[in-house]
Amino acid sequence: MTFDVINPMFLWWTTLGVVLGVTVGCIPGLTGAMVIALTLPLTFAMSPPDALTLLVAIYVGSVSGGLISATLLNIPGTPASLMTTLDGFPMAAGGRPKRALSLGIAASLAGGVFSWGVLTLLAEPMAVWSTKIGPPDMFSLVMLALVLIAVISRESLTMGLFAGSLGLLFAMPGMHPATGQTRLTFGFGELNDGLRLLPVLIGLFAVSQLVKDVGVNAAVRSDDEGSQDPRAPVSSPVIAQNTADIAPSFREWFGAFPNLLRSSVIGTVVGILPGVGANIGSILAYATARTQSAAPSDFGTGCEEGIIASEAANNATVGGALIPLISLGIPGSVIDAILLGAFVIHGLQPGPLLFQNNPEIVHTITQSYLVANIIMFGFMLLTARWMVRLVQIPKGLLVPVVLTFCVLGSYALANRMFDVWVMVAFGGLGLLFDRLRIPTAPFVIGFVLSPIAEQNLCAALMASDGSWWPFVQEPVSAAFLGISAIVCVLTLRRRRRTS
Amino acid sequence: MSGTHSLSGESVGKIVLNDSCWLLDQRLWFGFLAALIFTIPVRAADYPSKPVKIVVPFAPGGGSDTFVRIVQAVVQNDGLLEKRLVVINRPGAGGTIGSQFAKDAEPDGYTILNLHDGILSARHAGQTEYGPEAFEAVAATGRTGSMVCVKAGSRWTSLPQLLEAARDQPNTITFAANLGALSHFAGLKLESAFAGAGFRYVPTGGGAKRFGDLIGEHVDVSVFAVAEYAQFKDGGLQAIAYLDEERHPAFPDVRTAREDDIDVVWDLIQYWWAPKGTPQHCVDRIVKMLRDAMESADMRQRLAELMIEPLFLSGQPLQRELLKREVMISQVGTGDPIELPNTPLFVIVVTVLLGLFASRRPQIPLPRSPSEIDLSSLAAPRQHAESGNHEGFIAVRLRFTTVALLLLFCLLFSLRIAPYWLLSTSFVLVLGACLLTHNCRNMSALFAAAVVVGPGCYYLLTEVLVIDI
Repeated sequence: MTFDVINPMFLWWTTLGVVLGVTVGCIPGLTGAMVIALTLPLTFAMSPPDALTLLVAIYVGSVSGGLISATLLNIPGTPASLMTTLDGFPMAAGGRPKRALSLGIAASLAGGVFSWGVLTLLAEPMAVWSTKIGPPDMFSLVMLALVLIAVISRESLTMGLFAGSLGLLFAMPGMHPATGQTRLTFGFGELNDGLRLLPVLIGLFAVSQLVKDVGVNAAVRSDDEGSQDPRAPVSSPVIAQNTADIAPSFREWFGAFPNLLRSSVIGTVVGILPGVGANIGSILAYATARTQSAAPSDFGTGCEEGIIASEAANNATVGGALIPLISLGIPGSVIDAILLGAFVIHGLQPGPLLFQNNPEIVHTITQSYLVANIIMFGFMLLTARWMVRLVQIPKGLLVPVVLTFCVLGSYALANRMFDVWVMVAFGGLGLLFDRLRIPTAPFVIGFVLSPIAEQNLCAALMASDGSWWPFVQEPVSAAFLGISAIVCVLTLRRRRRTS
Repeated sequence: MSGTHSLSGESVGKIVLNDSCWLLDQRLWFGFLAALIFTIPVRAADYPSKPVKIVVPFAPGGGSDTFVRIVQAVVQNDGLLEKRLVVINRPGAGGTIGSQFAKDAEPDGYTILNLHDGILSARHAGQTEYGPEAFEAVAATGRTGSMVCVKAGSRWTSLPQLLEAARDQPNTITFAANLGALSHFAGLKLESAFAGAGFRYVPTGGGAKRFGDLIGEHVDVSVFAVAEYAQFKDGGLQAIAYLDEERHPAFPDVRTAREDDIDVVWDLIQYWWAPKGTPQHCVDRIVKMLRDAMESADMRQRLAELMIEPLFLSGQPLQRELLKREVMISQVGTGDPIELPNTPLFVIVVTVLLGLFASRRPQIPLPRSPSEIDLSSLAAPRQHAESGNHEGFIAVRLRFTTVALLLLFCLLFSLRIAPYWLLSTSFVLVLGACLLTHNCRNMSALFAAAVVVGPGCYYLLTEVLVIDI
């Protein structure tokens, strides 16, 4: 076990990542997925531990940063902090912004530290167990992941499954993952390697989002949730000019402990589930806290429990989602899909062998996750009241700058224009998806998991001499397929009942 | 892609040009001409002027990856090359994805492929159209024999025993091998040396993954390079035969196949390749680097630890060895793998069906339990488009401008009619001017941003990082 904490470069990358993450988290319209996808090409020249430290720190920062604008301006900086606006802003507007912020920041730290504990405890046993997972099991696990993300997506189940299978389809061109024969390249030599993840993600998440944001004032974002005039907070931010600023005492924290723990558990578990990210984690924890609360009617009026639940859970999902990523190579969310790409680009194969061949990488990741949470805590406490001004950066300035980085990032991946065109095309596709209400998360997860599924499908079939029976005979595989079927049927039945 | 040949030199040329362009300001045509003129001489003078990429077409943790990383470390520590070596893993399909990538790379000396005899077997198996002739053979470094391995405690303890089982019940013993890769050919060669024996091949991946599948009992047997065996031995791997002329000094207990009258010698040489057309002086420089690396005491010691024979070949002896091996591989049959499902067809059918179904009944949302009520509001941006009626027209026009300018930027960038930093600066300035309200504060911020994004990023990417714009 190495202790990177004393390594100055480690601290530098972690701090840089957290600052970058919190900054973009605070700015509505810039999301963690976007920034991590854009940062990845810049890490090519860095050593793998440094690169992963930086990316994990950005991940932590971006999930946390949203709470600043959510609390002080009623604008969720990232979708993950949406629930924080419900109680954070009323509390801040009611004259207690410092308390609202410190509650949110401390709850974020607690959620992060909790899921770090789970990560360190669970990742290695899970990786060891995963050698028992053979090709049929792996294939079924991928199918389960696709069903889960389709079910959780906000559109209909069919739409989610459709998006997932579209993702599979777009991953088809290129080399067959088992036999190496090229297919569906339509004569384009550049398609021999298929469509690469990074330009696809940059297009879907950055370009289409930026184009959508053009001509829309950032503040309008809050008009769905609040009754407040959306423009008012931007021109006169509710930055702590009030006198009734009281940070919560230790005794108060002790009282909040059950809620903190419950929300962290929910966040961590939601994070472990493949394909379900921080947004859902905080919503579930918030809803649970409301049903468990002694005074549910206080929720939405500046209730402390609401802030704690939302922020503890969204940070806890990060650590949870790192578990299947490190131990199985299955991404738990869109950001984890990009991190999976980062592993591969830096020559690391997540899975059981990562623990055997590169234990230092595993330690670096878990330590950077913990340290990033602590740095996030300190950084946000110190700077929250100034960070909020970032929201005032005009979109007209952000859009051209970030678009340039999109082009650069896609090009840098393999030094070829082809990837830039792929990025532009997927930007257009993202806009089309938005119009047709096709959710993007199942698409990305399908796209990432497609080669894993196909390679394992072929290996399983060749091991069984063409027989499909192992998929239902192997207990683990059968269990995964069974759960997928049950989830599908339950969702359909619930939908039928309501319609 | 246009101007493929000039791409290589441009990055070098532009660095020189960068200064002159600063002085000439926006006279980009002069700059472009200067780039053309300066490209060739500058390129010849100082190779390497930027880090050299070594493509490893296998997943990390396997034998090739380990070997290349040792070479990289020795080159770095002993300062055998002026610039850094960057190792890039491009795994997949038995090394063919990586070799294709290197074959199509710019022949500028900055992309070098490390690939063992797999380059010969891939063509023989019909996976690639090309063989060694598609590359400039740089050098051969290091030779390893191979071990036939099972999981420790397996029911087979010797090679004859295993092959007899494979003869008595052909096509039941699973053999981890990538189709058309060397592991596959080793299995086929064993089959041909023992009449009637037949394995069932399972494509699982590189050395590290094959090991994982053996340990997890998903396959029965596989072939590993000695270096891989040494690495995984303590993890529960057991060798039942060594496929070489004599026993390996480090593992005197492992019998050779020949001792059991199974005439199979299966070794592996690591070759280094440069894309066809790479200038000879670049190849010579890499040959010198590799020779120096192989001769260093540090390297000798590391190779001994990994049981790699410190072979070094270049020039004529290398060509002769390649020819000899090509003949040997062509004598092995290719076997006939089972019919695999047509996944693309299946996925297309499912996608079309789901698409039809989804478009037929798109209006039924998920039931809204309390926890899910707020999910819909995550789709904030879409609701803007619906709610912002009064600003709608302007917004649409601005979006259209953004997309058009982005396409123009990409087009000009791909045609390379102007240096990248100039294009990106102009893009930021023009698009920003379209989107921002024109006041003094906004414009000065925009100007600052354009300078940072244009020349700033250009400097960062070409000078600090390894990106070629």
